Amino acid sequence: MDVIFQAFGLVATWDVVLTVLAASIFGLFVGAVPGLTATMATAMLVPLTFFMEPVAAVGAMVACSAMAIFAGDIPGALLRIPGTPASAAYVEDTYRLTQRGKAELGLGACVLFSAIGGLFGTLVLIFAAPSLAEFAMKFSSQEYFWMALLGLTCAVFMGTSSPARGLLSLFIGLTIASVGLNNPAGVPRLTFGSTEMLAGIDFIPVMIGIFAISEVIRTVLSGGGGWDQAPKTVGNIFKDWGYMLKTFWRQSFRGNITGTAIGILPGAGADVAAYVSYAVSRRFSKTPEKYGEGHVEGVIEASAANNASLSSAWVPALVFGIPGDTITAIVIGVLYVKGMNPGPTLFLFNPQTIYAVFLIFILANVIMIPLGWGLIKFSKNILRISKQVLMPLILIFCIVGAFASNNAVYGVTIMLIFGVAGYLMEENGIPIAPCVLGIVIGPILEKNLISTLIKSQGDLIAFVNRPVAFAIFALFCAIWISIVYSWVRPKRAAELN
Amino acid sequence: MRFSDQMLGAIFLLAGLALGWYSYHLPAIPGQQYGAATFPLLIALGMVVCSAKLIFTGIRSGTGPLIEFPDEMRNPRALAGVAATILLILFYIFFSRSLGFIPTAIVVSLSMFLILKVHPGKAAMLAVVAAFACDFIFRTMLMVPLPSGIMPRLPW
Repeated sequence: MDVIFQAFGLVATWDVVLTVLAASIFGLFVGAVPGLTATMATAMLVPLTFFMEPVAAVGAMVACSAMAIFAGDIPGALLRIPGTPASAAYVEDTYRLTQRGKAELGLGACVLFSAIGGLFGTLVLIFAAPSLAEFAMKFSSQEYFWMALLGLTCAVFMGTSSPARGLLSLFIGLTIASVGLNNPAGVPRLTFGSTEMLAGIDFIPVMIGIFAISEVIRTVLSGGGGWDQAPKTVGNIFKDWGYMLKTFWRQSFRGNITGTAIGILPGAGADVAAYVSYAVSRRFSKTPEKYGEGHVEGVIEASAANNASLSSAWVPALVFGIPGDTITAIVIGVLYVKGMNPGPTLFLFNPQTIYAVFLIFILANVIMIPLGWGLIKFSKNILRISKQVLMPLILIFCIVGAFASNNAVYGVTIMLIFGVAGYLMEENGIPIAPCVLGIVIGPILEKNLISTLIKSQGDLIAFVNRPVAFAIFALFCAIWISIVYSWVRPKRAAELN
Repeated sequence: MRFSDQMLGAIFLLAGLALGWYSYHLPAIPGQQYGAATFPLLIALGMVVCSAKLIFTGIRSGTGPLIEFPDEMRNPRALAGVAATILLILFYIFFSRSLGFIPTAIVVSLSMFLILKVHPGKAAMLAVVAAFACDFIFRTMLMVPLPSGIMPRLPW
């Protein structure tokens, strides 16, 4: 109990509350602008967190990402352009509702069930993470090796249509992670004589490049352009809450569960959660034919799921240091900078900081409702700002952010290289997420692989001769078997036909 | 710019082989069989296998153009815009130290606004405000040592 009071003390300071509020408004703005994702918002916020206290820094990331995921629903509903990929699953429904003059029903569902989903995911995080951490204290290099591999497998195969391209993206990320002196033999690796590269490739400029600069390039190529006219007014979003809570509580609950489960899986994020739970909702609905035609049932389930997954993705990130999605991948970088190294010992040595982060999760999901209402009222002004005006400002902000990561133009160079690379990857259907997770998980994977190999003197049985390691290995095999089966089955069916 | 499966496979095949060849010569931990080479060698192996699969699917699905340019890229203005964006970031990298952050940032953002066809008057105003605002937030408030270059010391 003492720890909880200490955590309250850490959160209830003007610094933290104002930072969380400012980060929330920033997240709402970035999420509401079509084409700017929640991950991009988080990446752009990182340089500012260098100068904050640990709790304020992590709180800013929590609030910003939660708000951006919710705000992505607004341009989806008003213009049929999802603000973030996580809102794309149900954009047809919310847009059709707007066309029928019921924008308040769709947006009201998004606000309410995003907040409920986020709170549910947070509760699971609060209860699951500490007990899982206690269990993880017994983990050795074998278990961490399989956990890391499991995370990478999920990142490659969930949400990508071409596994070969997903794997190549992962290998790019792992290669980037291999650069520098930080390897088992402590020799310069892939540094090509550069002294700056000895410390490895800085993660933050890579993220800014891959997510923000690539978007600037895309806008320049398409010539910018404005968006269609958003509807002038949105009615009272609170009007239908009672009806929705009474009629669709099952869908909301199921969305919370699906989202939380997908979030906990290392490597799968909010967009996967939204798509899966929309499909689940349709499968169990009494009126599946109404989906995509302006029906609120799927919207409730999927918008609950994407926010629930956002909170629960922190479970593997905090307990094992293995990110649940691209946003937590960035957050892990910030945790290290702030001396809150993720892992089971974080719960042992720094419980008050962790509980403070949990409290911020609750705070962010609660203030989402009034801020969300304000944003919806204000949205037609945001949607009037064109990309032509935004992109040059984003470019300047990115340049300064990349520079601030190590106070040298080396960061800007890295940002440029990865901006072009990110653009080319997306153009060629190579997904970004496996590369990002590869960069973060790569060092953990290598360290535990080499430790296990040295401990066992090369005996591969050592990788599976501990019960938990064997269980994770079995799960890993099950995922691979299901993937191979899903490849073979359509071919078989085609041959039989 | 979209590469065909064969082309993409060939690029990654070369990258995988180069990584493998480079890593092979890295030393092990003294007294051990494993070291700096183990992990990149496994990555290189994976890269080679995946690129072989891409080349195979590319060949099987028929012959298309090796590199395809989307419609936007056929527009010389758009292409020049992308080239200019990259050059502007390079300009920042090479000249920010001698010119200072504020002048470089004004040049970069003003040029970007003009590339994206924003009205010149509005562009000039936004570029100046953005440069000074960024300088105030990062240099004054967050104490990032942004280069001052030819700029006189600002009162804040």
